[in-house]
Amino acid sequence: MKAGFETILDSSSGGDHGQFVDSWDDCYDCVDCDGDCDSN
Amino acid sequence: MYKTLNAPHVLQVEISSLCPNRCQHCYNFWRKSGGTDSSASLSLDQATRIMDQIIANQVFHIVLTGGEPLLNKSVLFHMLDMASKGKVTTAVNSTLISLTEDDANRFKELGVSVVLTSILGPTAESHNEIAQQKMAFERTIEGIRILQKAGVHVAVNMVVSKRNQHLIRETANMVKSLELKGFNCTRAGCPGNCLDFSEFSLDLGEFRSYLEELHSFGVEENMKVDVLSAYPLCGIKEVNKYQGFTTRRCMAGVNTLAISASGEVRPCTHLDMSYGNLLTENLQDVWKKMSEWRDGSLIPETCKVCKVLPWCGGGCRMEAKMRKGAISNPDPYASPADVDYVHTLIKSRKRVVTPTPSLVRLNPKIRWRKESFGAAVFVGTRFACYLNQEGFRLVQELPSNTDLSTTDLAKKFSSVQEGFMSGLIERKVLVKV
Repeated sequence: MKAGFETILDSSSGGDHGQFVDSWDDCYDCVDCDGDCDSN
Repeated sequence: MYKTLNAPHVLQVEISSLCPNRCQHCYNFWRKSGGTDSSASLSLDQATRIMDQIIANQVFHIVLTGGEPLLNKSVLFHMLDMASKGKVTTAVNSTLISLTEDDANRFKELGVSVVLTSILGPTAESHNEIAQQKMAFERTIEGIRILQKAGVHVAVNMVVSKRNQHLIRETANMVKSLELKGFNCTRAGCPGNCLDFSEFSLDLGEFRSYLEELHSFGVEENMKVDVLSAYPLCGIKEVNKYQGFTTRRCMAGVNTLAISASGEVRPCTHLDMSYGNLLTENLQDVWKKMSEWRDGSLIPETCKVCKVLPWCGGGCRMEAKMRKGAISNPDPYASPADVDYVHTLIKSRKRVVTPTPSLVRLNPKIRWRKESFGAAVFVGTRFACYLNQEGFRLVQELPSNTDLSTTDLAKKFSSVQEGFMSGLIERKVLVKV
């Protein structure tokens, strides 16, 4: 196995979503934040 | 459909089901029903037991909510303190009614990442009518000022229904005048106790108009705008124009869940379905019982065969349950006729490649948790990525507090997935020096 990213979607989910699909945000999670949290 | 994580990433804990407001659209399922949870608040002992499980299971982030968490202040600050010591990041959802300067200063001291509050209209008249509480608007605005003075990051969400859709722009302008960086605006979801939400729910045309209004405000005013709920992509339709509104996805029971003020464990705060009680059961045991949220069995049949599903997830299950009659029915904003168009737009997306900096560092705010496939990684309060076993091993080997040459890293990362290093930079696992 090459070192890299993993997706939480298992093989049954189909599609050609690629490795960057797991950059989703959850509902109501982490509002108004650009990810580096420097603004906090 | 989804792999099973060892535990959720994020928990929302409703530390009190009481609330000073009586918002007409409130999603708390117990609000109008007089249900058993209507007067529950966590005790200090119960909160401690819940926090012990949260820390033991390496949950990354918790949102303390309600009802109104400030109506259970001793427990609120106790949980924030335990979370801080247990390296769990925190956020608070609150009306800000009854917030004091001392409270705000304690939020700051305890490292609360953001306090989210709702604004329902641009004026006291419009907000208070929907909140059904005199002085609610004035107190919430005062609360925002108090938080700003204390240096606490505050975010505002406008809950949009038929009652206030015409006020989106005015409300956004008012929020801008408060010198807040962003404006969140989210459609009202049907509460779990409501047989008829038709006087509040937007129809598909109104839903798309709301997205356009929000998007255009953001462009014209150069202000960050966002939605805080997961919408089906075929309902959004213009997924590239509104790309910022397409990043959320229902992860209920997949990497997140909610805990009620009586310890009941639900997939999400909007849902009235309990899978166990954290005061009498182990989090991992309850988590395992929620497998129907991960195996795809609640996904609508029309979505299961949809080519956009991997990017979409099928929208909101609570909206389907309450407005379409069954939890596995399509989200009311789903528009299957637009799927081909949406798929074409998604396939036309181009990845933006940013130049690779010469020097990077491992983000000092990185946290990880081992999973069966490798690891889940957070940066600050935010999910960054999942790594496979080898990827995790490589990242673990990187020294902290050390400048790393990307040329050297490229040699070290010679046997990796294409784009691994740039992906780590994009996801802020590695940060530019």
